[in-house]
Amino acid sequence: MKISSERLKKYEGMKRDFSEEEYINLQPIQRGGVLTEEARRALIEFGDGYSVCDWCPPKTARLDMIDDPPIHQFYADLAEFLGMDLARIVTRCREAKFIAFKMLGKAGDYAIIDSTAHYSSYISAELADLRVKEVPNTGAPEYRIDPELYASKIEEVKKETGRLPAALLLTHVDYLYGNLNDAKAVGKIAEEYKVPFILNCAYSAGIMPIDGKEVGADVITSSGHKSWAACAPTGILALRNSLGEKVLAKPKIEGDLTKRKFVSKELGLLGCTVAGAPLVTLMASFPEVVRRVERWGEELEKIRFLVKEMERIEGVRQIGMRPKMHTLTHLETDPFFKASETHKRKGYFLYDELRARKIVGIQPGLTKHFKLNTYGLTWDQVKYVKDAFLEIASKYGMKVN
Amino acid sequence: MALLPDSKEILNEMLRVQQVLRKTSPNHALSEADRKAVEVSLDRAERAVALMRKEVR
Repeated sequence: MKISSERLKKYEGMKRDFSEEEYINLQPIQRGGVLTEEARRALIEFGDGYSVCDWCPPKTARLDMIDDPPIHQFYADLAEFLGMDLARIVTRCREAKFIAFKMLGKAGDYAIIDSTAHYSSYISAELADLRVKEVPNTGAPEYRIDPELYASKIEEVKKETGRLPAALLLTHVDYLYGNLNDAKAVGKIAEEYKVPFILNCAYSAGIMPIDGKEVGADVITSSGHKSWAACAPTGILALRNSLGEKVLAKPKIEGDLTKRKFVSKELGLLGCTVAGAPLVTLMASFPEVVRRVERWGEELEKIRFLVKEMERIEGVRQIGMRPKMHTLTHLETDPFFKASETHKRKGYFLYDELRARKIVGIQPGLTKHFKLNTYGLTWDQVKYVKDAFLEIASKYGMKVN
Repeated sequence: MALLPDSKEILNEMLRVQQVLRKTSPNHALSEADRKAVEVSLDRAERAVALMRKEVR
């Protein structure tokens, strides 16, 4: 089929509406993935297709064995940085969770997951033929996960099935409230019951310090484009040596005619994974990521400052655990909702007001409550955001204390 | 031919300027250090452009 040149014009000179150079973007999933200068350079250098395969195959024909660019070394450094033994790059955090579930469980097994987990944790389990048992949260306003409830859920599974669950999964920092969950406590329970513990660090590893060994994680999953200043798609799967053989098992299949075997590949990964620019951006940003997690304390100061200032607007309150232990933040903003009721643009007035001030990332139409993330913004930018919200509040007659 | 290294130099310097714009958005109130960094980058890029022009003529 031919596509008309008129139609193809759509793909010429594509531009982002909201570049970081022009706007402050508070979109919760985007802050930790903003590229470093080095990554932008690497992106141009390695943008062509299989750009990391110039020196492939290495001795062992597998992505993680390539020495130039230094992928082999990077995987070792990445594992060490996370306090783990092995690391692999996959396409997304959800693939990492799926691989872990698939390789650790048998069809019909249970995975125990926290009730603030992302939907992708659930469907990763489903695709791996697992069932889930949810650990409840405390509900409004904290939505806290009590780690001790993992033990009672394990008992529940034992009673129901006569065997242990395939894995425990804890969302280290959840996507809704930005709560930092107690990984160490869950790690202890996992150790007691000898059940593999998967810590989903999509929102934490890469922006804050994580030590898998210290918290007793058997598997760490993370997202390069969410928290490691890398392009999508990049996911991280890090493991303890004890699970290496199981999770990174080799394929056994053999061609019935050709007798071909693929024993150097890793089954769960379907062989080589991210063989190009996204992986290289992850590597190029790695030195800065190693440095930036040390500045996590300052990032917390910034979000706590913003929350304090936002709560000066009467009726605005932060929900989730306090004080903020993560920059992803959920605010209840009733006075903005009240203002929207009489505005001709209804809920979109807030988006319009913010956009006029070159601030984006709050979901258009939302005024009753919304999420934002300040990660990586400078103090000047955080103060600019604060001024913008207070100015809008005053403009619409809200009481600012 | 210096075309290749000079074109890379220009790209590099523009990426540097872009980083300054990113951390100062949206009002771009540059600090003294930012202003200096941008000037250094523009000088380097200008020199590289001049060399490239010479090469292609």
